[in-house]
Amino acid sequence: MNNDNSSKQILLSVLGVAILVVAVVGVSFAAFTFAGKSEVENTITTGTITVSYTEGGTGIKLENAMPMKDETGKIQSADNTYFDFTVDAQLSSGATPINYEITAKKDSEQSDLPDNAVKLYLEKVSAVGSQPSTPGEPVKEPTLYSEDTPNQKTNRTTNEMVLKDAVFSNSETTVYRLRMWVAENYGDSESDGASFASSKKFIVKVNVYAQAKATE
Amino acid sequence: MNNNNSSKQILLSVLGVAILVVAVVGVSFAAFTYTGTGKVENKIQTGTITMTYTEKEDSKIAIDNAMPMSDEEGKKLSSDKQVFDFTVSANITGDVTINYAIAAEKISVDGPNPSQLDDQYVRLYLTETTKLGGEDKEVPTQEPKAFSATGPDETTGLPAGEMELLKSTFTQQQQGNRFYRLRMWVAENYVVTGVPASYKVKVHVYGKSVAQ
Repeated sequence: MNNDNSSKQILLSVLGVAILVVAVVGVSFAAFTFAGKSEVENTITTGTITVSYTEGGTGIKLENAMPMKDETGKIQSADNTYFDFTVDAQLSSGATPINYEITAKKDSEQSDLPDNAVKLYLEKVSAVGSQPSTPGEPVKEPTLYSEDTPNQKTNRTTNEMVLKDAVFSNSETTVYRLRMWVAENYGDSESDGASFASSKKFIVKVNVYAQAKATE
Repeated sequence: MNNNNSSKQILLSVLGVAILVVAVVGVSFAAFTYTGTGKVENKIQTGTITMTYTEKEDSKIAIDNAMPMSDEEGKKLSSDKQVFDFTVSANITGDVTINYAIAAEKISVDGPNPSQLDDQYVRLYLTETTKLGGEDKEVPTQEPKAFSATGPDETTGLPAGEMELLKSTFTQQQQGNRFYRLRMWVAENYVVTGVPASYKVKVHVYGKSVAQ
């Protein structure tokens, strides 16, 4: 009887220890974990900016051109005496303002008429091909061709003549008209090297440069 | 007659010894036993851990027509729909450490309009505030960063594919409410085009206890 009691006690003790071990191990593996998952989608959507430059018509082609007064040059209306183009900017609401320039760039390889022989004039008109005899709103008064140095604000890296330097703050579409002529006083002075012994050329292209204003 | 007596004596002796041996053996097996019944209860009772993640009502980042901005500007965003405020809380009784991670899960945008904004053009910035709504002092948890998956992390339970914004701990000595504010903006090196692009994230919190 006593042997049985001892054996039972030993057996119970061993069992108790085993249970304790299992319990301790069990508690260790059932450690705390947590996951809090949000359903809220945090979203940002960018605004949009598009700037486009569209040329209308075939451009200026003056042949046998002779010096001309500004008053006459500004209202040239025959075909190929003016060049219409459109600058369009579409900015989404709240978009960063855009610095932009409209420029004229001389083709140095093909042009042999000196810069001080040519005047350029830019105006706003109502539409491409609108009545040329109807004066538009002057943007750049008649000015001898002269190149400006590069402009970081518009990301222009070359020397070109700036016809307009402004900012797009909102969407806008504007039609411009460029005219070009031989300056009235070209050839008046011997020092300007004017010569009409042979035909000379002056060729320009219009460019538009735009860049978002840097944030401050 | 004498022989008989001797035999009897021997027999009795043997019997006596045998009885003695049996008695001793018997006594040996009937050795001392004792049972002391304890009255003291030895008890294990676990501590408690509760952890919660709560979002401020109506708080959400929803920025349309976002333009690129510098990190200095982005850090200052504070208007409604420009920030996301939330609380992470823990109540602990017992000697335990809880590792936790605040994570961003990137949610895909179904393009093409808007298209998916590339990770490199978005900045995420988390601060800890002294109260929900961040109207008081803010402490940055890290510098603004582009999304980059850093999981998994077994120490916190952070799964693969999510970005850890913050890793920290709760203990019995350091528990309670912690308030956070998330900001998100378009990085200044993004070139705006004519097609809008979007970026979406969800915030999650993961916690795991550390065995002592």
